[in-house]
Amino acid sequence: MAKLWLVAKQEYRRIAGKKSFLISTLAVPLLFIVLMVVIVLITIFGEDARPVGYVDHAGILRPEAREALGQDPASTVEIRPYRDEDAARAALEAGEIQGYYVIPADYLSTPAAECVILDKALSDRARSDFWDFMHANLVQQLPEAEARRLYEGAHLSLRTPDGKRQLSDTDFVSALFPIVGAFLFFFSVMSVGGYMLQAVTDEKENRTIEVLMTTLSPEQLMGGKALGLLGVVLTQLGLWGVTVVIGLLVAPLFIANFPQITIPWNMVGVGFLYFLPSLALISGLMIAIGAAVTETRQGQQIAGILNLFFTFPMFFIMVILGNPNHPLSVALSLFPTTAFLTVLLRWGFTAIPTWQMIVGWVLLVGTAIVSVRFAARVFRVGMLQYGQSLTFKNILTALRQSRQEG
Amino acid sequence: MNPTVTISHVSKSFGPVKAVKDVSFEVYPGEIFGLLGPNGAGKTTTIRVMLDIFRPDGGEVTLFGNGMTEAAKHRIGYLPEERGLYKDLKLEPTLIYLATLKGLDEATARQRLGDWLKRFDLYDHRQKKIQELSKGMQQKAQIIATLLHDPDLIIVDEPFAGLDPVNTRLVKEIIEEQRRAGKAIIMSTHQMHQVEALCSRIVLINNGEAVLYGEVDQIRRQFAGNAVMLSGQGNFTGLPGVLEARQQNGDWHLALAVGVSPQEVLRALALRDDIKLERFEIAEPSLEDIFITVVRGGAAPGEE
Repeated sequence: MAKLWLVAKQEYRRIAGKKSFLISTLAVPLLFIVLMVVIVLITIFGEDARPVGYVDHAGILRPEAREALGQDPASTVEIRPYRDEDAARAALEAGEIQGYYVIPADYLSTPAAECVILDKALSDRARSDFWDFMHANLVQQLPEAEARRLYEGAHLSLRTPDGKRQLSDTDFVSALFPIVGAFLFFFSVMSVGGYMLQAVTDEKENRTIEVLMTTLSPEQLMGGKALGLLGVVLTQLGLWGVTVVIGLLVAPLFIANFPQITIPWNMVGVGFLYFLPSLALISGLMIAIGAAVTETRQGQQIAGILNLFFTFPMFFIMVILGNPNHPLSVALSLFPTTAFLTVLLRWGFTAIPTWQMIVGWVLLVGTAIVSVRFAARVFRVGMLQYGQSLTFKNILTALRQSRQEG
Repeated sequence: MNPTVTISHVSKSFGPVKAVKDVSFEVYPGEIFGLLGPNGAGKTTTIRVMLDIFRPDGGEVTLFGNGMTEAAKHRIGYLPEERGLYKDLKLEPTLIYLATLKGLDEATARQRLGDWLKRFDLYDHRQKKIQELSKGMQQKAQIIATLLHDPDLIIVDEPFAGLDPVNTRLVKEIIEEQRRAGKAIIMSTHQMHQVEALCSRIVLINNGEAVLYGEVDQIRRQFAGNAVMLSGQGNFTGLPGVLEARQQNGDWHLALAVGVSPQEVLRALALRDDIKLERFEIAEPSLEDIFITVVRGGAAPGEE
């Protein structure tokens, strides 16, 4: 066990100490922070916060209509009434307002209004707030409960039969969360796979393996490397995660009506359940590739093809998200290399039947065990063949021999 | 005295190829044991079986009185023929890492490493990346990695490869020093003069079989008469019954084939008009002669 940790520590230091790792790790949060700062600056300085005016020839608008429906006008762009178009025009030319609407006398029969501006369009917020103001006024003749109902509009919520999961159209960020989570989980698994391939080919290229094998078992060596590399990826994800959390805490201070985010803990749990066997599966395959080839580039070419089996759901993401119970989505949830990503992608949009989860997970775990055993056997033979690739025949012979020995 | 290593009737095949066939030998504390043989004879496979990298098809390996254990792994220092270190890492942390894998704590490893680095003149390079070191320096670093954890069994495969004469002498001194400290040392090399200078006993493996095994002096006595030394004018190559003719300090040294006596060679020389013989004497065969006689001529002791 102590040796496992020594290898893990060494591998972690080796990768995390590289400049390229520091740059790639810090670049994402830095980019995110810069993006946030730009958005905040645009919000503060870029948007026209001046009032928007109106001239009501129809006589239907009351300035206090929104207060009556529970809206706080202080949080919106100021909406100023003008007696006539001349007064509104004068205010516009004086720069007091960014534009004004003219509500014609027959507005209720032909609902069209004119917007007058100088050279710059109304800000999105001013336009949105004015039409919100219009809606509040148009429903004001109705009894308060109906007026409020119409003013707020329809909210669609989807709920699973057991009531444990719910999705609402106002909670779009929560719907996005499983997708983002799926990509983060998936990214970490694929990164460990990539690092593992590099680590194994490095050992082979550096010819260090013969000395290590007199000290460590292949399981200690590869297990330690996998742990160290997992630590590397978690460090990276942790840093990025902290940045996102800070972003989510800061964003509501600058963005009005920023949605509240609910973390789908059950999805996080399922993610972890699939995470370790997926990690073992890809690590095993990468170790076998690394042990069988002579140089990193050759390994990367083969790994590139293999990665397609893991990234396959990405090509069908529209099918999976649009129709999460489609036979293809179900098939991909059961297939070991695609199960992890597909299950996470489907999670936000359907209630995956329990049998699919169990069958998919069992198949994944079984394949992962076979993959690790296969890797250990190829590793024993391939790592000592310096400068020579293993042929398919060699690999089969190795497997046969190790079965006899084992 | 109990042997440090006992190899008993070990065999190992790779598919149809029998790499090692029924090889047996023992190595004792305080001796330098030569593991010899031509390329592809099965030496490296024998070492790998000994170190549990390969499992033998038959036979038994005993290290320190037992099979391979975690404790035994910590008592072994191995310098393989195919050697290397992490090229993109710095020298000092790499050697400390390898020593800690062998059970040494980091502080002790660091302390011992300083002395070794100074002895090998690498101290000023300890913070350099290994790829920045010369081939000779990398070789010396590898020797340090083999010895840093103070192993009781040292296995060195071509320890002098890539070293200049000064460092060759230093490594020889260190190997001799380790022997005096009671360590069992197995040395595999093609440099026969180094074997003669250092080894007390050898095993010679050819085509996977141990064809010679015993004390160097005894083996040389067994092969007495299988070499002649002569001087004269003319070309002494291509004589019948002579496996190899080489010039040494102006004299000719001839290794004789199995069953060929020095008298027969002398008779053949007397019949040659293009040769003027000035001196002819039966030489004590060098290990190199014996190696050539056995490997080329297929002889075993007692057959000559």
